[in-house]
Amino acid sequence: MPLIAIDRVTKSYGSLQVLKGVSLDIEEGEFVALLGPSGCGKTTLLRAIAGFVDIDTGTIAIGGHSMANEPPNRRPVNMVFQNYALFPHLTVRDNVAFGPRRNGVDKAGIAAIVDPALETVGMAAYADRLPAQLSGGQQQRVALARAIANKPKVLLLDEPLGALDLKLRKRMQMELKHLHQKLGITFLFVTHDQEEALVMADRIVVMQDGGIAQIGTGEDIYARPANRYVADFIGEANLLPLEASADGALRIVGETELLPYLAPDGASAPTLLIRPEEIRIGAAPDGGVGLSGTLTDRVFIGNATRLFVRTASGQSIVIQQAGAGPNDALRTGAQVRIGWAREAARVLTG
Amino acid sequence: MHINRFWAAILLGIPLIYLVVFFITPLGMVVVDSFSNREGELTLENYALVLGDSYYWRVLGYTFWIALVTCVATLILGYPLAYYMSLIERRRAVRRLCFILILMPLFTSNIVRSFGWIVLLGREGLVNETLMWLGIVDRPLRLLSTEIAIIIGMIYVMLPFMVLAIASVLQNMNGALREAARDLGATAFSTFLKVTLPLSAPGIVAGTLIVFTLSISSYVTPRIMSGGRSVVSSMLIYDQFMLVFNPYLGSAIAVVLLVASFALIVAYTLLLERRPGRRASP
Amino acid sequence: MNRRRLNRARDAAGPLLISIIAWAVLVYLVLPLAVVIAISFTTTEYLAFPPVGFTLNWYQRFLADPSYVDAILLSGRLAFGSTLIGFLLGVPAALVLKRGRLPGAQMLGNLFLSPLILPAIIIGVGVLQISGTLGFARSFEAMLVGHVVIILPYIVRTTLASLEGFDTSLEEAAQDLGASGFSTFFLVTLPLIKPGIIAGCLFGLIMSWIDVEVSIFNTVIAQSPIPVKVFNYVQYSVDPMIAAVSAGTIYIALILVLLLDRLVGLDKVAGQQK
Repeated sequence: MPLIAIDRVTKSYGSLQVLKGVSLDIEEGEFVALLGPSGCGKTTLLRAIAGFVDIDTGTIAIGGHSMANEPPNRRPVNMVFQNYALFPHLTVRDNVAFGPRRNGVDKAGIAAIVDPALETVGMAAYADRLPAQLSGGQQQRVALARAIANKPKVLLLDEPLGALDLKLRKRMQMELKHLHQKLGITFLFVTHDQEEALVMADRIVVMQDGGIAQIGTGEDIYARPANRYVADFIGEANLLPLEASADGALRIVGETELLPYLAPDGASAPTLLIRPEEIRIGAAPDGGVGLSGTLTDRVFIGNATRLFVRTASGQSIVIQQAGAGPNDALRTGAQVRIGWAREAARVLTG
Repeated sequence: MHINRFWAAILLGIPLIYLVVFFITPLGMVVVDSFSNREGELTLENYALVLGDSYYWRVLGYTFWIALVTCVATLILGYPLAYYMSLIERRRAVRRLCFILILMPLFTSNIVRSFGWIVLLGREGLVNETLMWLGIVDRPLRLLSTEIAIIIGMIYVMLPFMVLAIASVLQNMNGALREAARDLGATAFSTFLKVTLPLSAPGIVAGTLIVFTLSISSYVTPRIMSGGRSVVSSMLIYDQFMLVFNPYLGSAIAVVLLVASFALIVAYTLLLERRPGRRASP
Repeated sequence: MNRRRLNRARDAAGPLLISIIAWAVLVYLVLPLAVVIAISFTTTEYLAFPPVGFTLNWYQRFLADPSYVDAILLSGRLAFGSTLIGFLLGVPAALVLKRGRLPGAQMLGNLFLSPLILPAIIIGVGVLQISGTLGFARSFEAMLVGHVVIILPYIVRTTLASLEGFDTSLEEAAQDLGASGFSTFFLVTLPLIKPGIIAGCLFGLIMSWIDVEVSIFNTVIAQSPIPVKVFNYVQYSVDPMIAAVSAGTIYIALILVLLLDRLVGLDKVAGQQK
């Protein structure tokens, strides 16, 4: 039995349907990311699990119990809010003790919970400060300590790292991952940052327009995206529109060469997905695909070089090569051949 | 926090009942009285008297004249002070001192404040002494019980409202806007004229509305400063109720004052709304 | 070079001029109060400014006069009584108006604020009429209900304003951590809107304390609040004792201003004034 069972949940605000029948099972101990752009319904789904959004239809069960009639204060979940929502009038210690106190833990019990919780996030030295006296990263840690002090079955995190700068965000990503391993409880977090999802989550739920586009591990979703939307959202993608010739063979719109791929059944407008790092300059490998084009730009980005090639049909294709050196003899405006192995590209139908 | 319907009805219902009984009903009674006479009959005679006698019109006009002068004068005096304490003075302690000095009069009864002016404006008061010392006049001016005294007293009473209304807007103004104006080549003066002043318009509108409405209905200050002669509408109302014991006529004067001031306020806000790019709501 | 210096001088001249005007206005605001305080210490039998000598005689005389002490006590009872009632009515009303998701909440809010723009003298007249009808005309109770009407807007408005900027995720966090709706209110909401409520109540207290217009219609000479008593006196004669009484009310105003600064912060209050 899954720890969280979400079954055909819908939610509308007026005429706007933000959740269109979402079903999702989350197992105990998992680290799951709800990933998508703003407005895709990910935060609404998280808030529905926490109890702040009343769903229209469908069910949410946690640990086998329906949450339909449970107010937020009686659900076995705790949340790390986007802007932390630390109580400004309470010290760090009292913030963390807030939950256990509500659950009737006695004085000795509170100390036995609060101190280790602050210890876990490295904030024990700040117990008597007020939230306003802490930096953003420190507030983040206190919010975490407060949420885990109640020993929830599920920790919900709403864009937990969104307000931090890049360096701190990267460090907190690893710390959250370690915290998850240490505590062994289920983490469900919402993010619009695909890298954050890839780094932390065991499983990624890509949401699209109030529904789920794909569920899978990071590798799964990157290598085998279900549709153009997912391919475009996770990592960088060259998405080339395809057309079928009379005999069913495919070619890139505007190109004459036929491709070694078969048209999938029933797809009206298939698309070819090829990741930038899979393309090389030069002749295509045996059985692969080759194209001609003009080099329009080259950009050095530190650990790699990106080349932009415009094909005869006007398609712009991005190529990424490790390091700075390769093909540095090529100048913009040069005519080049590019190519990739047959299995490096995928035909998408959605 | 969600409030269920039962508690909402109780928590809002009791205050509403209070307002209906002690605020709306009394106002209704004043209106009804204005259409009544001593015999308890419905009549228009009170209005016929008030609207037919040029004396009442003169008093009403004078009431509005005093309010207008007060409004303009408090704006001219109040704006620099609001600007200074919001945008020029950076020391917290001095800003705090400004607030204390502005709130002190506000927290003191109009009567005590007017009392101070009686002393200052007397024949041997500080104002006359100063004027004579400066050689502007050679014998003491009669200041008390004059229009000047009423206006000085009214400005004094209303000034804090104007300063606070404008300062609250200036304080919350994005400082980068003024820096941007300077960066784009505006002089300090044109920055004020083109950026600060237009952006502080809501404060000016709020301030003038407050000062105007309070001035129209002001009673204590004109009574004391005028030496007791009935010169503004609120004094007529008081006299009808408490001295002449004709609440019916008093009510009619009150309703006329209320309607006239309401009409002026509506006209003012409509005028402001018609100007493009201005929000009139205070 | 010269031109630049000239420009800079011109840029500095503006703020300097404004500062001078501002301080002149501040002096204008303080002067009458300072004069009243100064003459309350004069040893002369008539009003003398600058005061002659220094004596606390006038304070002794007014404190020895039971009618003044009674008037001050009456004003105090009125101010605290009406503020308490205003608090009990105004804070719940503001909470429901902001959070109750009621249709027409905006309009009802305006109704609660409307006594602010209505001439106080008309409210005074109205209270005289209704209290006459209900049988308690010209009494402490009549003044009390009138004062509640004029101070209710202050309490409702500052409470509404502090709920306006309230981060609702704090309440969600409390519930998420196990607090019921009731304890969320008392543990999170109330402590955070407390400054607004205190500011509103202090303003209400002061508006009642200094009111003349409502009281004057609803009292009898023998039972007047202090501002009405001073008002009745000053119209016919002025002497150093009434200056001492007036100075006393100024000291109380100062205490209240400092209290407001201490409890809420004056710069925060100013934005919510009238």
